[in-house]
Amino acid sequence: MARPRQIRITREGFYYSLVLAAVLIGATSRQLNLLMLIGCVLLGPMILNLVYGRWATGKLTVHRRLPTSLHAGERLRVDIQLANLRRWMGLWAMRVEDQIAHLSTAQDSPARVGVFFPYLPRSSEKLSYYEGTLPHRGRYQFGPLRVSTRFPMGLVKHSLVTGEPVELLVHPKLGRLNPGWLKQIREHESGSQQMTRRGLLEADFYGLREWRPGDSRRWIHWRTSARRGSLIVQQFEQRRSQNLAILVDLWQPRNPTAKDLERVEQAVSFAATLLAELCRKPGAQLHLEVAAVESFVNAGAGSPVFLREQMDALAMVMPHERTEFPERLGHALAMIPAATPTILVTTRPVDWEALGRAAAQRETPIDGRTILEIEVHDDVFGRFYEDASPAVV
Amino acid sequence: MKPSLLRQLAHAAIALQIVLATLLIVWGEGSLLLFLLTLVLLGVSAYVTDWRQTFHLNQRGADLLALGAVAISAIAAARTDRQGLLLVVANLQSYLQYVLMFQPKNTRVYWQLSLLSLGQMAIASTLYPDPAFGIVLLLQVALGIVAFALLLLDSEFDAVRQPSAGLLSLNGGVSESHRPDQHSVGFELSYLWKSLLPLAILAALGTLILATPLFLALPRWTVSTFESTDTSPIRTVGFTDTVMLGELGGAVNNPELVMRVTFYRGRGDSAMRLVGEPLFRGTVVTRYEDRIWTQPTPSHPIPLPAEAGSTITRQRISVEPLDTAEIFHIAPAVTIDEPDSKLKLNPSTGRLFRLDEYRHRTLEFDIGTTGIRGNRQRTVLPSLQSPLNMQALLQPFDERAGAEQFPRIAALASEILSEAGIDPMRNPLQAARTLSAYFHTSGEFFYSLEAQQRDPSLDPIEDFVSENRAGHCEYFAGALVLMLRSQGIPARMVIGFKGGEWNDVGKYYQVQQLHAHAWVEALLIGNQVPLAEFAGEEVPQEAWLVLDPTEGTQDVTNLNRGGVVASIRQAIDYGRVLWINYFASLNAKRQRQGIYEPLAAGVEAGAENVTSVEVWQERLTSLEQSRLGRFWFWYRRHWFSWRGGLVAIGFSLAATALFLSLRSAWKMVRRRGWLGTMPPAVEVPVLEMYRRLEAVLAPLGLVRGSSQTAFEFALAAGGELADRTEYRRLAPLPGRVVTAFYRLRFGGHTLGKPEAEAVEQALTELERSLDGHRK
Amino acid sequence: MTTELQTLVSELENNITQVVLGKAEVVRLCIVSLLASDHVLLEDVPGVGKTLIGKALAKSISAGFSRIQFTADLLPSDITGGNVYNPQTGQFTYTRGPIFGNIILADEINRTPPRTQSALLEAMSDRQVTIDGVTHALPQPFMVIATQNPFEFEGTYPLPESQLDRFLMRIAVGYPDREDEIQVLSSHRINEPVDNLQHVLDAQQVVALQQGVRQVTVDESINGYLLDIVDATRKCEELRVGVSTRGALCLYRAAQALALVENRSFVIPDDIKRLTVPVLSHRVIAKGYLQGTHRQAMETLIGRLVDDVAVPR
Repeated sequence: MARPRQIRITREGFYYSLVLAAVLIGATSRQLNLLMLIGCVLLGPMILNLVYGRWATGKLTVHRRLPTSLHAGERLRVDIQLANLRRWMGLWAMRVEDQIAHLSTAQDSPARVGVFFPYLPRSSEKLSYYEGTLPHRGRYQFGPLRVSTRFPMGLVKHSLVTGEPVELLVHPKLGRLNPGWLKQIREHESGSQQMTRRGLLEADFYGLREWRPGDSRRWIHWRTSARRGSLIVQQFEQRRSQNLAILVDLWQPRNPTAKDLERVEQAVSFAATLLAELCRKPGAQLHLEVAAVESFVNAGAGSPVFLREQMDALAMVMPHERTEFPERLGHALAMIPAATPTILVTTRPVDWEALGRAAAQRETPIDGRTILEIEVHDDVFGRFYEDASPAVV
Repeated sequence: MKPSLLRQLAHAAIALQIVLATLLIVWGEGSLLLFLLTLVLLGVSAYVTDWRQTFHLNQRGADLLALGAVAISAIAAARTDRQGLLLVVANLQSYLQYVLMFQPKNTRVYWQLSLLSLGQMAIASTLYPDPAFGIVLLLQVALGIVAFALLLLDSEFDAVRQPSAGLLSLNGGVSESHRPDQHSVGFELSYLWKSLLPLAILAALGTLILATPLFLALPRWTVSTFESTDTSPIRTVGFTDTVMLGELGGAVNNPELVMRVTFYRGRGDSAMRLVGEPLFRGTVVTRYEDRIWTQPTPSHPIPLPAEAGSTITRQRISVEPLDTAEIFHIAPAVTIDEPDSKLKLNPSTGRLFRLDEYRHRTLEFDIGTTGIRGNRQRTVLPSLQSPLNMQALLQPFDERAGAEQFPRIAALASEILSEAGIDPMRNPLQAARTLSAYFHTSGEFFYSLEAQQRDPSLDPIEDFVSENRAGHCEYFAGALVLMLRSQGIPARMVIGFKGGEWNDVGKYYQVQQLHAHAWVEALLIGNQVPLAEFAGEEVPQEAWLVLDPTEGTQDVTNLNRGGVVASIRQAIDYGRVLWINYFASLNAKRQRQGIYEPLAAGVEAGAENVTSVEVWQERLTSLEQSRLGRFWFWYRRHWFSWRGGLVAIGFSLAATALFLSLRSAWKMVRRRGWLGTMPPAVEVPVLEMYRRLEAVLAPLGLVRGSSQTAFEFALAAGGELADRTEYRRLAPLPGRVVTAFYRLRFGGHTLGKPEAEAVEQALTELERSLDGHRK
Repeated sequence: MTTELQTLVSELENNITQVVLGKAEVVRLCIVSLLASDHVLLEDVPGVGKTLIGKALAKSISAGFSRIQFTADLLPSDITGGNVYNPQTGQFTYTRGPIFGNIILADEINRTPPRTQSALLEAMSDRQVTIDGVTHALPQPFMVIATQNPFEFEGTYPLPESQLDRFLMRIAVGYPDREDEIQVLSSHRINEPVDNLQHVLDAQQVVALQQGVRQVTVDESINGYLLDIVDATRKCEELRVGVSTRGALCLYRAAQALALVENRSFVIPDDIKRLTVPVLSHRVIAKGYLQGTHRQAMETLIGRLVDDVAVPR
């Protein structure tokens, strides 16, 4: 890491020094008194610049506040707080620069972004921020922060590198599911898989309570009403628990084209979007299995915590290059209750045979299950899912 | 897009720089055209190029114009001398500035404009030997700081707005997200004058404090005195070589400076003031014909004589550029130190003059004189040349025909002397004094600068003594000369300056045109020379008696003596002297004498004061003998007695009371914010314990955000501590401290002793454990 | 503040949390509202215990408790009562409606049309009802605990914003944690625990507590902080209408009450910070208002505004 404190002469400063030296040397050698005086006076701003910057960067603190969680493509706002601890004088023209590097991809140079504090009164602090979007999922490193000033004349730049670098795990980009997404998937589905008995889109039955004026008669549960002798209505909760299993086959060819890479990202984003949608209403039993370089499987009740764990995992997942169909996905079916609909997200055509074989090994035939296959490159993918529009900069 | 407000302000500051520099050049050059042109073009370019942005020079056009300017200047340079060359360069700098003014502005262009102004300042420095130059220079620095600070702010605002390159799309933010434009609310413009302006002034003062000693200390190796260049305006002296009566010279009430004279006793450095008004001798006129006094034919000029025998007074004469060569001085002039090659003396007239090539410059001479005894100017001076042309000194009374022209003068002189019973042949000294005194004592003569009605048929001096007895000094002096001559006493009229304004700040005489004066010298020969006047010296064969017949000149020349205005004026004039001595014409000699040596002496004396054993012994002795010392002596013997005990107790009580009152006074000062009003964030009394908590946690990187409450901060800090195994046990402490802090701060409670101790313990524990993390 | 008051508060709180599981914060806010002599609006999907909280609070106080189930056909007089012709005396006599209680549980308030809603809201703000020109004062203490479902449900009449600010707080109840839910299931095995709840306070004690709230000291700097926050909502570009002076006063009173609940005789910045979202978020109106996500968006926005205001120290 660079030295925490740096002084660098700027271009203006260089030329200024040249002029200064010329005046001083010329005046002294020719013994021109008033020219010497000009030279000495010219030294003033130079020294002021040297002293001010050192002094300004001497007693301050700077902090960065990152969002706790962020999805790729989501608007990022990073607050930078600069505090002037000097009790007697304000700070002018302080610039704070942050650098952001994407650690997951081999990236040439970190991006730099700066915020500017024109003036900080004595003993005060101010908040500024920069915004933008991070295009990729994965780990980003922020910092260290560099505070610098060229005040007053820009002859010398003082900078102070402060704070340790901080990492931010950026979750996969979230897309948007069209309102009737599940139905549309099913319509598109070409396989012979059997429908589940209960409609996926129905509101869940929640409980019973006495009829009150204003309740729709459609909701009266006649059987219970008959037994109790008073009108009882059913209470529903919309789309409450949606049990679902998501299998992701994250494959890319050995020499991937840009299109292939994009497809992988789309698959990850789609899985993430599905999970986020399903976790909105707690209680659903969810199951996520990803075949990748480091495959993983997670199951649990939908909750913010569960969602966060899945997002963390999806943020770091890397596509595999094995040509054969990952058996794991077939094995996974054994862990999934037969009634739970399964969505298989792949980046290549599904080898149903291989899937069937793998499932059969665990004695869990795929017949009778609801397996919805979604191939990412498929045109129809766009019918029920769309990438979020690129963030407006 | 219109330039931002910051940019407009910076533009204004740089325009002011240009105007100031041009003003200095114009002052030196004496042509107003350049200045007016600069003003007009500044206005036009600001409107057309920067504000409306309807016209600007492209790079090619600017280059062409600049080349043209250089070519014109080159032609002008070829036709001029070295002196004019500087002006040509100064003008060229102005032309280049004009070109730059019409170019689209960026920071580089502003730097160039500013540097060109600086170049003009450099040239002005050779033209303008005045402290105003220093003031303008400081002003330029302050303006430069303000201008480039504003430009820096402006460009930084721009820089953070450009999205950064790379795979990220990011926008830099601006604090409060606004640039200080007319419509902005975020950045308060009051910051500019509340904080930036004081800073610039502070910086300019700092520059002054820093640059002055540096400048004074820079090595000098030449002894040349300051020489301003010939372009300085030449001042006409208030008299001519001839004196024409009836015409008043331009001297009347002309306050223009002629010279400054400082008197030093011997070779010492302490300036002195003379009793009475000194008479600075210029030249003499002897021949009167047709209402005109003319000079005698000059003898061969000689270098200043060296005089070792008698008491020499040093006169330091700093003379402005004049159209005559005379050096006005206290006669007789002698060489002090080494002969000055720039000066020559005409022994017959006592006229001291500088060689022609030095005439038009500000020069400074150190000349000795034997003409001062004690604090008084001598009234009898030895003649420098012998024999003298007696006929010329008696003209026109050396001839009968001449004497007949001035019957009234001769009659008046004879009448005065016979009334006083003095024989002019036997006692010329008394006769001369009596005649001179007649002008003061008779009460018939009036001093007047106004032109008088004269009888055209009469000679003006005849008219002056008989009919209209009012006139200025030349009438008085002329009348006395003729009266002396009519009585056979050789005499001549001396022209020079009388008095001058005594500058009490700088201890020197400031002589202005309005101090021009004419007086009389009468010749005493042989045994007529009063011996008392030459005590301790060789008595000369011929001596001149100095007589000033003019009545009441003081009333005119020193009208404005005293008062605040006068002392301010004196201080300003002294500032000018200092400027010339220590800035404009600082040379190796003066640097050694005025700076290095006093400094070394001061350091030596200071060191001696601190280190010398004798000095300390002396001090101890005096302390012992003082009342305190005697008391201590008494106390040492009686400390065990009841009186001694009483004293000890009283002293302890007094010391405690003093300490307590000082402490409470200090607290009050702190609380009232008399040490400067703090911004609200700090104004509330942040209790010491909380400050300590923040201080101890800061090295761990734990700093309270402004929107974090103290308790949230404590919780976060506790969490952070709990995450580190070595500090885990400290985790609950911040919360404990803040709970107590809240009770004090917001509850207005006081802590019980156990609570206070618990807090203190927690803080100590934190400080001790986290000490390793402190810087 | 006497310890006696404090004991009362903690007894009340313990009593309620005994039956309302996993909702400590909501319960505390409701008590704050009670102590601040003001009303509270509980908002969430059905079945998360809104009614239960109201019932438990009411049951813990030996005072008049009424429950009004708001339906589409409820009339204003069903709430306030009205003049009824008595054929025996041949006169109209005033019959009090259910609003004449100390604790009123107004269930599903957004199911009733605006006319009926406003009858309730008027009674809430004026603490009196006027029938045929005769004013009837409501008893002391008087507190309305209203519940409502989020707007996306069918057959509702959302309360206009102008009326929402009659409530001191709007609280989202939320789902309980898993452990708490398990406990809920087991405790309901036999009967409804809330029915067995004992009184711990009487009406006089509640009034005493309410008076105690006003004794809580508020430092000048806290006032400044509070006004800074209010000011921030007024200056915020995303809001069309910021917090009114009444809102600021409510926040002030609520902070005092919270201090009392937390056994302090003074308000700390944390009180203000904690109460800002429940007290203020229903008092502002956003630009480009989206109904469905409204509550959450406002709560997030208010939270962010608070995060930008400097805390006194």
